Amino acid sequence: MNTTKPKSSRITAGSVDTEHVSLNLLRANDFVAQKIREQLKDILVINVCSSPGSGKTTLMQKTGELLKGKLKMSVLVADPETDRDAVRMKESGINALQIVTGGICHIESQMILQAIDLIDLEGTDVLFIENVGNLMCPSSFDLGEDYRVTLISTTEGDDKPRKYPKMFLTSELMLISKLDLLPYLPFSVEAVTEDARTVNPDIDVLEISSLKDTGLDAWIQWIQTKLEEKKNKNNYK
Amino acid sequence: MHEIFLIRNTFERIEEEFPEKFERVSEIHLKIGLLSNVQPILLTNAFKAFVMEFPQYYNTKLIIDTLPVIISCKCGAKTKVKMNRFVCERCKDPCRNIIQGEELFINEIKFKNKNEYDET
Repeated sequence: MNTTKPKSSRITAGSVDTEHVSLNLLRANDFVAQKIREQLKDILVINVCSSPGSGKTTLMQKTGELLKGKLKMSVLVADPETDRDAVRMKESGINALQIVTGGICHIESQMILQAIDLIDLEGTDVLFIENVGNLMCPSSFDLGEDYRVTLISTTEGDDKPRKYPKMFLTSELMLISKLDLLPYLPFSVEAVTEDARTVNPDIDVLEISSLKDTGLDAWIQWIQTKLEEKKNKNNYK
Repeated sequence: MHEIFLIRNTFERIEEEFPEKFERVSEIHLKIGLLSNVQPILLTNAFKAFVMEFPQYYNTKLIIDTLPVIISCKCGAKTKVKMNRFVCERCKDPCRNIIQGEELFINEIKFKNKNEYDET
């Protein structure tokens, strides 16, 4: 239209156009996660989460030892800085690759997609993703995993699950770690289990001590069962 | 937390969806569930930091609608979750059928009309 209006009349409610939409802010992440799932359909992928210092790397080292001769495992390990964890795992003979997030508080699926091109997964049965130590942010990011396992150590206090509900809500298994320290700490296995089940009634719970070899048979059994389940599911497809 | 990432994503999503007019965005409405681990105040701060880098969005407004967590039980009752206790208010059974609270999306975008934008 060529009619010129006085400027003031143009600033009306009608001069704004409104779009009603539903645009998911994590769509890009979820899309890539799905791609990873398709690419790794023959490997059991487990996303291991926890606070810093609750024993993820020690558990990975121990798991590597116990799976030797049974299953081949590989680990993608993420930290904000340094490759210390990957070095530790390689020293234990585990096929590991470090992801340095450069200060980012979580892993995104894009980082995993890049990493699986760089790590040799030939023959791997189980791929662990050792997430950044953080009970908050990693819970929002699907990495294309089959299961999420969250560690909670006896030194952290038994009231964590309801403080960080999303993490426990999205985990299939809670591992209570550092069980050997239980006699010295005001930590109750019953209380933490109850707290976790208040958030997620379906969560499995196992008690372990990586240093003293407690409860690890059940953990290995859990991994083997989940791997068999995945393989059977693939065969039926 | 990753608020800056979310704000960057917000603008990227708008650009992707409305390539012809994303630069004229004047108002963004987000719906954020309490389970999304996002703090509205931190998101608002991240937004302010972002528009300092991209002054073309200086007058863009961010409006955040926070949604409480609601579960829907087999018994038919709906419960607003308090203190992260995922238990049905009526039958007291544990329940994780979340029908609200995990949202993290843009639900409304306002754009300035073209003529007005060209003048500013």
